[in-house]
Amino acid sequence: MAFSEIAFKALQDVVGEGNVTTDPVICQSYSRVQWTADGCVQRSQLGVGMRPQCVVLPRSTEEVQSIIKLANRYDFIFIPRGTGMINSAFPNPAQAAMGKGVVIIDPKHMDKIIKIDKNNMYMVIEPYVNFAACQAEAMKVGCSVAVAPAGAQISALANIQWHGAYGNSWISGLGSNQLLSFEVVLPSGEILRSGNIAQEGAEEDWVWNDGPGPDLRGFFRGAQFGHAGGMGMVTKISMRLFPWPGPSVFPTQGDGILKESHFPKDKVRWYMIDFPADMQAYPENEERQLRWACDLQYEIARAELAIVVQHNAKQFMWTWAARSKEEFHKGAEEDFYPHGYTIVGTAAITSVEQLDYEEKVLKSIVEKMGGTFLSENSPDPLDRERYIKWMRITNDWIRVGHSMRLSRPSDCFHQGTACVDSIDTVTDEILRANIAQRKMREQGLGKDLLPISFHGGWISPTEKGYGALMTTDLWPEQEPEKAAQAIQFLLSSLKGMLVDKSAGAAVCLLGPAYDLLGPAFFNVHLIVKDLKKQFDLKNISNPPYATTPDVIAPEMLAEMTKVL
Amino acid sequence: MKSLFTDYEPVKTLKPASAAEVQEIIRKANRDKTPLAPVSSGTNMQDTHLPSVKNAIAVDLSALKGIYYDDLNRNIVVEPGVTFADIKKQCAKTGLRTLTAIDVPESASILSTCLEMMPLYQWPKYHPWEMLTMEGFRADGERFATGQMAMKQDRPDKYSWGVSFAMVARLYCMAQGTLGIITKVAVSLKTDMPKAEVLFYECRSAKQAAAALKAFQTTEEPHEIFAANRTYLSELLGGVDAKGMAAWTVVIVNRGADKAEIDMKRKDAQIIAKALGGKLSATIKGASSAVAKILAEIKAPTGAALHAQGRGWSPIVTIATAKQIDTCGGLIPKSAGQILMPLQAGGCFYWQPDLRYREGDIAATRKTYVDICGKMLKAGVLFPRPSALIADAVAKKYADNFTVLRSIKKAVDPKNIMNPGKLGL
Repeated sequence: MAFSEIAFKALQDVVGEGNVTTDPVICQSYSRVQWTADGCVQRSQLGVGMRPQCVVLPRSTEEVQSIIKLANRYDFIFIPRGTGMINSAFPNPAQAAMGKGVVIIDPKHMDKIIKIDKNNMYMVIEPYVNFAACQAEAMKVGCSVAVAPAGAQISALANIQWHGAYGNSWISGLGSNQLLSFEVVLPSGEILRSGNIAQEGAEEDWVWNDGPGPDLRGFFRGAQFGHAGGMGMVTKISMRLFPWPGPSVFPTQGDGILKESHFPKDKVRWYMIDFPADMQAYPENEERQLRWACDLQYEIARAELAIVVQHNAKQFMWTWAARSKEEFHKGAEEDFYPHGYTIVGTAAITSVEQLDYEEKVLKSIVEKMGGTFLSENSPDPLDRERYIKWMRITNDWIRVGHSMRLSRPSDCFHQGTACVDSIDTVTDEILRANIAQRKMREQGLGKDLLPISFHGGWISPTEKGYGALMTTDLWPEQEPEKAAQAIQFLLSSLKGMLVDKSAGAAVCLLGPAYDLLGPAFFNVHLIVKDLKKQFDLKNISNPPYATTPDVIAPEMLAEMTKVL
Repeated sequence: MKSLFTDYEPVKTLKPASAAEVQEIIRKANRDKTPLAPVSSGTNMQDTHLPSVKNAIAVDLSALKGIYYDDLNRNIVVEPGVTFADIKKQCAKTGLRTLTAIDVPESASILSTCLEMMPLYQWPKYHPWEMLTMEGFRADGERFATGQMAMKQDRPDKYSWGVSFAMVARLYCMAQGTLGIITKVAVSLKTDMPKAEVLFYECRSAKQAAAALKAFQTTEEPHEIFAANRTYLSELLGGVDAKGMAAWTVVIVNRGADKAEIDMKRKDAQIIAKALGGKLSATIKGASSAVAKILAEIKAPTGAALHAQGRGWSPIVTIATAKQIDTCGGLIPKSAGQILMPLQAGGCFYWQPDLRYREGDIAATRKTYVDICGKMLKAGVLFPRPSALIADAVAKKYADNFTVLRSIKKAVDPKNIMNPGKLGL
């Protein structure tokens, strides 16, 4: 790969010798896509091609700016990243085909929470601040952040800029809803600031971002997915905070896998809601159950209650609640959670009276719909156990500690399908995926996926029910052939969406898939290509994100989308 | 009355009857290099529907009246000609309501109100994200859409969520027709709570009102909350004598499912009022039916007629921090009405002072307007939807942003057909 000595020396001049390296051993450590199935396949296809030629660690926006200007001068590709969780943070086949040097910009030194403004409810962060730090600091001042099940360890900035699904999405929405002002170094090396902070000479205030004129978040963030480093590197953002009445320090007890967490009942209350008696059998009643869960969500939405509302599929319940692999596999075999449950959390934002009032309304809704609440006093001892095990970890929706257990059953993980849509429509997509994938299973496909893979159905409504994110999840093992089975299942789901013209397919509009799907979406890829050309003249800002500047030839597209 | 904001008038008006005709108009304009200025209802408070250049053709979208109502998902898909009045009955039937904007009348287009982010009374409660998906035409005449509208589909019943594409969504918000013409949007509807109560809290100054708004807003309980100076409040209450009123009054509207919810919210507000050193009242001295009038105005705003009383009335549309409002308060004429609404937990406010004038005063009023706005701009006040009179000054103040916006405009409107000159683009 072409990465010149002179470019390396220039980078050294910017960040100092200790903060830039071409050492193949260190660079190799930046080639390890995490546990997702497409990451396994990408790794197996590219081999050492996954290794960047150089890694650079800037300490400031100005250093990022200098690095990007050098990228333009010496014509190397730069990959901005946060904590490096998703595939776009690594060299990819399209970059390999371009034959240019690839430099990863690792923001490890840009790890400061610059400001927490509890009065105006926002926080300003750099790229390497993770959700654990954000939430810990926010809680200290009586606030909460949106909480990403993707993990406490991930970059909050990257998550918010890229996608962002949250445990408390009921109040917080998706990543795009969290973003107030931002600072970005454009692919040209120019620095751009948005909102209040965009004014020359204005006092530092990151509180607002609508205007003047067209909303630049529309360009640099979009609604569901951002540009994944394809439009420069975002170096600071201000993110929304939410009211938090609970303890200022997250309460935990026990160590390691025995750790659990409980909030005082006068601050936060959790409810685990079961379906009516006549629809308990699963999967026979899967559709009835999911529709019932939707109706419950709609009712809670109309009443404007709660801070967390989720329908968790049985696979979700147990991967989170099981404390060890052994317990997981045993419980999965015994069908410990026989079906999904609705989980609701309420918080005393103003008073205990408010909590009592919300409880009264919630109980009346559930009673009207024929559902029941699990509790420590449930008549069925198994229900009591199910409740107790879930309540040990349900605080995860407020502060993530256990959701990474999703990857534990097989050390690998992949979505069987996913989309963002209205509550009823995401349910259609869950049913489509589950039914189709069970059929594929009967035909002998996906034989290496864990059996629990075929019972998906996480419905995570956003903004009090105006939309919802859903996933169904698959567990292959970390071997390329087995991981490929999961991808095959995901693609079958995507094909189903396209045949039915479901907008769920939009979830796949990333990178080269713009070319794949753009023609079905009023040629949206052509707009994005025009913008990419305007702002990234040399196509060096993490290609092929957000998309390639030119329409991709079909044979090349086939090659580039092999790992989708 | 002639517009305060611009002397430009369109040379003619085209009134398409369908989205296909809109597309044809844009294509023809590209061929002829004729500037276009889209108009929905022309009720945007700053005459931004008028062109910013000579020889522009207005595209009157008021005949596009398509509506699809989805009460399950609480949203409505509307074309540009659909007004708030048009959907009132349907909303009432299903226990829902549209969000309404300060000084934007019932006859206004829902689409343009949301697209141009007119200040909705309910922003403090719900935050400004009421628009879901959209569909329209780029400046080069190509159709585009976001989310479910983007699929080539015949499913009008599924326009619920704004899944959108990297870098495209929201770009069209507040673009004042400079990037294309939007022909359909889905916007959210809210529960129309059966019970409502209005409470008033008197303040001596804008500074005190801003502090009180911020304090009351912390509970996130009020469905509507704003403060009005005595001129504005007097007009809201039907023109009652303003003399006995406080300089500023915070208006809190609590809504709920039943009396218990209203009682709970009132109790919380009373605790805050006490901490602020004042008390809440359910009445305004000298104003009969104050509560009913406030609720009626929120439900169906009167529009400019509320303030104009035969004269010119033009608001200054801003977003400002409490400090900026305090700093710039002295710039506002004593006769002005003013309204303040807390945003982002009261970190900033929608602040709308206004100017009142006679037709013969337009030249002088323009000077006053530009002078006041210039000083506000210098103080850091944000003009989210700058009017034609100050667009260039705002663009200069946000130079980096507008360089980017010009590049975006160039990418989607290479022939500079869509509302050229608007917003300084």
